[in-house]
Amino acid sequence: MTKSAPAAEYEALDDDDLLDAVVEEFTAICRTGATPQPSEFAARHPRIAEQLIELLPTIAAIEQTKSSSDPTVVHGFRGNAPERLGDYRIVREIGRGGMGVVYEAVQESLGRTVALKVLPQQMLADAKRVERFEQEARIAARLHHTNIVPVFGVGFDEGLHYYVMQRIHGEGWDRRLLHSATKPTAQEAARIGRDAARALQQAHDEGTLHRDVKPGNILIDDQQHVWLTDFGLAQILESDVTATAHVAGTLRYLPPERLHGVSDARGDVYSLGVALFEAVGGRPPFEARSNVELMRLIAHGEPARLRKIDPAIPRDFETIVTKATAREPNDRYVSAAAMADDLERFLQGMPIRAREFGTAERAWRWCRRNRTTATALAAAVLALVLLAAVSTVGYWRTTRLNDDLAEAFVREQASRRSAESTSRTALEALDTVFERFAPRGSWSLGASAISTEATEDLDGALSAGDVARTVTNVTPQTAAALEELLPFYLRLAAERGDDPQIRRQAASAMHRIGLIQAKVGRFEEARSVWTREAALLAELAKEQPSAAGEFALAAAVLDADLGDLERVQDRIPDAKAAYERALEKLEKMDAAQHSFEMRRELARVHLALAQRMHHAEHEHLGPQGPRGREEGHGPPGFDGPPGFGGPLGFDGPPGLGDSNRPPPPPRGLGGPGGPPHERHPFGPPGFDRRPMDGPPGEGPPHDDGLSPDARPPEHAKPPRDDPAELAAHLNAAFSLLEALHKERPNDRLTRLLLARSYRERAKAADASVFHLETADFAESAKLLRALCDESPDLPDYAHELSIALSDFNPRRLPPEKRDVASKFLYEALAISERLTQQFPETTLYVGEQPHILHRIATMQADDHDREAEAVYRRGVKVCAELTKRFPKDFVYAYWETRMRQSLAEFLAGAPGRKSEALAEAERAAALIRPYAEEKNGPPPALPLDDQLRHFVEELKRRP
Amino acid sequence: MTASVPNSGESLEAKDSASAAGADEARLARVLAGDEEAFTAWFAELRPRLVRMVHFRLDPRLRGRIDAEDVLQEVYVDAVRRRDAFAAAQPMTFFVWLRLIVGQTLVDLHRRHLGAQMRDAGRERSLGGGVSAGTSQSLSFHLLGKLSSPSMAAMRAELSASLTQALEEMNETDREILALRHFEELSNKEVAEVLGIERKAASIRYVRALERLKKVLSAVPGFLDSQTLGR
Repeated sequence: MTKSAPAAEYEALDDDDLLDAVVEEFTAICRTGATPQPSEFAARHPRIAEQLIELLPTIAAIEQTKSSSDPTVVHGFRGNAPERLGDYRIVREIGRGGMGVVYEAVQESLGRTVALKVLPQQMLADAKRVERFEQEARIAARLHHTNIVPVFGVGFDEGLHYYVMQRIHGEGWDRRLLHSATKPTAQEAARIGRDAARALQQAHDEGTLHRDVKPGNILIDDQQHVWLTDFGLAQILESDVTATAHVAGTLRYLPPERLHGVSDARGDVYSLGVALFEAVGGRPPFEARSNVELMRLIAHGEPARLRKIDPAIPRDFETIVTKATAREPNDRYVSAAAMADDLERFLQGMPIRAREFGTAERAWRWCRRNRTTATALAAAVLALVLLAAVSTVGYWRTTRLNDDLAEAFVREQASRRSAESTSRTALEALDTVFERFAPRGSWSLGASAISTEATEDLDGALSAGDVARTVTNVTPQTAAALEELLPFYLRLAAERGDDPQIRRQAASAMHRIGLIQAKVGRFEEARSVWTREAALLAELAKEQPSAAGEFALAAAVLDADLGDLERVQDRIPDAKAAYERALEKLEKMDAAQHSFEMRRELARVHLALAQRMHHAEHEHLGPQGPRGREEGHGPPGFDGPPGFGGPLGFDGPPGLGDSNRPPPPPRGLGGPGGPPHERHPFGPPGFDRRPMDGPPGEGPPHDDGLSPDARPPEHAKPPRDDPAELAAHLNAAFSLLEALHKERPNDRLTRLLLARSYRERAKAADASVFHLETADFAESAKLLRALCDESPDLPDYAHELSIALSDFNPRRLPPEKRDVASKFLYEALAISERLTQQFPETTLYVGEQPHILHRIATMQADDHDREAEAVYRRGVKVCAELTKRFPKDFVYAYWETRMRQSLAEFLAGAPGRKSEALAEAERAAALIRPYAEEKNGPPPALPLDDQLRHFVEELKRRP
Repeated sequence: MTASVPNSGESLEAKDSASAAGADEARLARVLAGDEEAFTAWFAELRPRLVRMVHFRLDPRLRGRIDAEDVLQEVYVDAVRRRDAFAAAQPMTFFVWLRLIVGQTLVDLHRRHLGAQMRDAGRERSLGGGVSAGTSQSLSFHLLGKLSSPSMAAMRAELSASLTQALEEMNETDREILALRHFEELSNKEVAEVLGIERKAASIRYVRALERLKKVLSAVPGFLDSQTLGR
């Protein structure tokens, strides 16, 4: 652009301006594609000749890089190869890299072909460094190993330092990797790594560190033999300021401790590990765009895992590489030989020695790295690990959790670009764990609404429909551990300026914790965490009026779940009030907010309200069995104790409960004391932990005689349900669900609700029909079975099915129905047995079994089948175990008492077994007596104690 | 501004483009008066220089995804919309003003496409006109941009890392001056205006930056002809 100005024009300028002007002119000429000669310009402007000579070549170089399409311009020593250096005649260039140029040369005195490496001049600028270089070369020359390129000597000529080595006919592994169309297999890489590691060990034994292990220094000759080269060179160059370029060039192989000037044999192990990683993984363990970032990653990052890049890579190989590249030298192989041995074992197909890092170790390492950035987060991860430890999960589940956490770590490091993404990742990790232990939508329907949205914002991968892959195995410890994670959400939110998104997730986490607490029977804990959630939701709704719909839905879900919680505890009026609050919230929402989730929730609430909740309903169930007792006062139902027969509470699977089933009449209890809520206080905290009964789901508390707190006293009997109202709710639920089902035929929650609706309708139909034989029930069972088949991992569907199948009172069955009924019961028992075995900690499942057993035994007893005794005894055993496990909880003692009472009754009816019957009755009486004698003890204890007392006396009176 | 540095290289430029400068003044007046035709014509004339800037400043990760022409289209629309701002920003040359808009547009684009990955955003004090892709990285990328054969690509990765690091160690202004002078091909005068420094100072710093760059480059084997082997 600028034309060359006449020299005279320049004369007026001072040196600075002149220089500037000449530089612009020179630059402009370069940009035309010409190659102006710096010397000419220098000659034209003698005043600044020196500066021009200094600067113009640089300018030319810069401009050429922009315009030149000839790559040699950039990195070539164009045409400057020396012809001869000392005794060596240069034949041709065979390679070049950060360390200089390698030539093939002939050593004329010996007539042998050698490789000659000419080092960059600046790298050996002072005498001291030259001396070190020569010293290192001497050490290297002493190394003799089949996998080390022999060094013949060093030389200096024509101002160039060089290094003479055996000529290897082959190429660097780096070039081979680059040119090969496919990545090497783990076996190929392991072989190369093993040989290189052996070479390193030899050098280490000789007291030499390589310090620059990288694919470029691993040569593979034409016979596939592996050669390690350039021993010790790096060290001389490292301290050289001008050589930063070199060090930087191989930065990604640099062991982290070297950044602090520490190097030992394990540093070489690390570099070799990185080389293996890169060869097989096709990318380095740390990817960074700048050295600064790379150094940060090397120092603090967690490397990628090979199998995340390519799952086909053998796990053992990954383990070896992971161990070799551990950030802490102490975590690596202690020596190159140890690494070589493990690689050899891998090649031989033998078990390797390296230990896989467990979740805990990985998490701990990760925490250490992140101490500064996210302490809270790190602590959270530790807590997660503890959680994994306290949860009795099977091996494969642990593995899965491991993978999830590992994945979260990988993601974390991949995206650790900003604090924001760090906390994002933390949230994901938390969410993963919550999802694992409290899968959305598994047992409380409502759980899905808010949490799904929250998660999808983060990561579309998880959704409510994803429950199939989740595993629920909750224990009271799980709940407590999860609860301890809550502060991390809140801290993360605070770190991000009270980020509403994180707080919303915190609310969602609270919700899930509440669900878990409820599932393990800790109802008060559930209520308390939900109360916090409600407050948080209200706060958020106020702050974000634009998201009002979302929060309204969340609040409605919360109310509905609270309703379930109340119902499980048989606080019927409270439950009803909660459902009605939920209904009101949902009905208030704008049409625009009628999302799928909202309508599903609405259906759930209608369904809950369609279920008969009041005990009065039972009255039309008719007498309970041949020995029918009088309402409310009969002896506790020994034989079909209403309790057992009445599915409700116990069975109520979370959410699924048969809520529909009206709780049986308070009968066996003989008019227990105060209303259920008042009774509550007597229950030790554990009392609530009555997993057996109702899962927080909608399962209404059982009516059966077994649940002490189940029924309200006669005087507190709530009003009867209005059948018309119930029917209206059921119809509303049906019409919503049918539409939802059409909209998303695969939505599991919709199908689950639909299954319950059918069951509800089956039960509501005609009391004279065995409802398990109705078309509606068949439809319900079909839906449930399909869910079970689809999600074999999710026990809640199976649990619901077992409840559905045993959801009838055997005593009310006409005799001809017993065969078919017993089939249902046995299937229910089989399911329950499987669940009990798989999830021994989930009291919800375990507690279901005695009820099924009791129903089976009762039916058999009525048939005078002697099998009944064995079944009762089994039930006694299960109950006794529960009593033992939860000694403070009245409910289990109560169940056990009832079971023994039934057994005693059966024995009393059999000829010649009076004394056994008496013994059993006395044990039962002894069990309940302490509760009955307790001041303000559990009200149901009194009548039961009374009955047993009479029964014992009656037996004693018998001849 | 100009007046305070009587002896700068301006005399040369002025001489060289005296008529152009006069024409520019006239155009400037028309543009400020709202003459859209003059605006468009001038924009078209400056377009190649703006394209160069986009090429240089665009994050390598976005190459292939974002076309310079698209960027300029956005810039044009934005510039038209903000003509009043130009009047308010006087004295400022039209080119420097457009460059500013290009810079802001690029920042937006980077944010949009790279989001959280824009890790350089906070670090680099966008001397280059609000552009956040690191100048060091851009410089390094372009200096090594032509190494494209597979074997060279490997070398490039290493060189690029070392060069970027070396550039990062330079003074920010110096580095920016190099980028502006050589990659955006701005004149010293324009550089001074962009960076808000005296022209003389800009030129002195440029020479100094060149000297440093030379040192940096000579540590990169083979970069500078004959430098490495000393022949």
